[in-house]
Amino acid sequence: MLRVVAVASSDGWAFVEDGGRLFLVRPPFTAASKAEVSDAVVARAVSEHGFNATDREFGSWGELIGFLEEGITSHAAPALSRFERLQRMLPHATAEVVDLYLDRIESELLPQGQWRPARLLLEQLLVLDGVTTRPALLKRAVGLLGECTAAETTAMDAREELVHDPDLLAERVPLAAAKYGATALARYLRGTAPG
Amino acid sequence: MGRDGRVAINMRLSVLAGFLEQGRHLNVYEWATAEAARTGAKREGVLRAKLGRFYERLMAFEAGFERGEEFRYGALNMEGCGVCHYGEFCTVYRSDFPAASEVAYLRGDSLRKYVSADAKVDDVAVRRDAAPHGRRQCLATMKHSADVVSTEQSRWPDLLCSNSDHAPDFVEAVFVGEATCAGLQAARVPQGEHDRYFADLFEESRGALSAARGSLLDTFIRVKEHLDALGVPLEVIADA
Repeated sequence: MLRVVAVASSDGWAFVEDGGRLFLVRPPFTAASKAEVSDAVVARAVSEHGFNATDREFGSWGELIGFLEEGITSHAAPALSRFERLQRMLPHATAEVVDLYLDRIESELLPQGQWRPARLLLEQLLVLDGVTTRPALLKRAVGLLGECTAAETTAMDAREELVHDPDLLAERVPLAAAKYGATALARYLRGTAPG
Repeated sequence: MGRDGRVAINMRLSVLAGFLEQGRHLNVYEWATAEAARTGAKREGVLRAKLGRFYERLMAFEAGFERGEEFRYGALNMEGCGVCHYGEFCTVYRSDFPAASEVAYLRGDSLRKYVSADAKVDDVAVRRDAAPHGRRQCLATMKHSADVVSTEQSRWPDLLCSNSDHAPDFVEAVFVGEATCAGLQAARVPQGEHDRYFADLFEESRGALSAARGSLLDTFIRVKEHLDALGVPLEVIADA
């Protein structure tokens, strides 16, 4: 049984007693973010750092983490949209962060066909002063945007070909075509936007 | 920056956001007074509910001093991210805050070192250990005299403010006077914490961020914007 002895709900931090030992638990709720502490740490946290003393039991870590995550969202201001988050956060990115983003776009998003998030990120990165004033970063970002556009265009062309050619579609996805009919499947695909 | 020993207070993300938005830091009594006014409850009841079983220990320490209810607590800091058990953001104050006449330094966390489990205060030890502002370096040097010679100078900030498990160790700054944003010199955050917000933003770009992490990210964005507006740098400190 896990017993929460103090909690700061808005941040998802808690002091938890487990088997007679006290732990500080906090996001991202990994082993590395969990630290064993003494009672004195809890006393100071409650008296001066905004934690509330409590006495609440949970049957499992999953249940406890669910409770803490719910605390974070229930105390939060209205959420920003995805676009707002990108637009307001990215200007604070260092050159190292931008470089890491470009690495991840290249090694994760593009190979996985996630063109929309790749394009969203690249378009936001390309207007940052921290990128436009660094020729190497700018060149790399422009190059990746070009790759993204080319790959997306190729994929869309291939898709166009498929949705207008039920025979080709049946050849590519025989089981789905057998189940739903190639013409119906093509009609369905025409009505859905590419991911 | 801060090598000469500044007062620092660690804050969690939402506490820092509140501090920057409201412009001042509330101690537990100020918070309880505001909460009592808001809810109509008695202040003592609000305090008891918040502090739970720690109520007597805190009251015992502060009742022994004039202006005890005005006390705020920080840690002496000469770089680094402070006492991360209480918050991942370390707010560091300018050298003129708190005023030298309004701060005293103790060898460690006063609740741990000077208040027993049954709420008895060791007045003799408090008097023996307390140092005024001008002697804070002496207090720190005496406290760490056994380790300081064998510790590389670059590691002294970690010696002064150690985040070891169980009980972080630091020189406690006890002061009166309002802690406001105007006194802020910098805020610091460990590299790993800082990078995590950008990793979350990346996940958000592909719609894979949880609601809880999204809320924390929004608060971080607000914090960063407030700090920028105040001209206070957010310093990212390499993880130890």
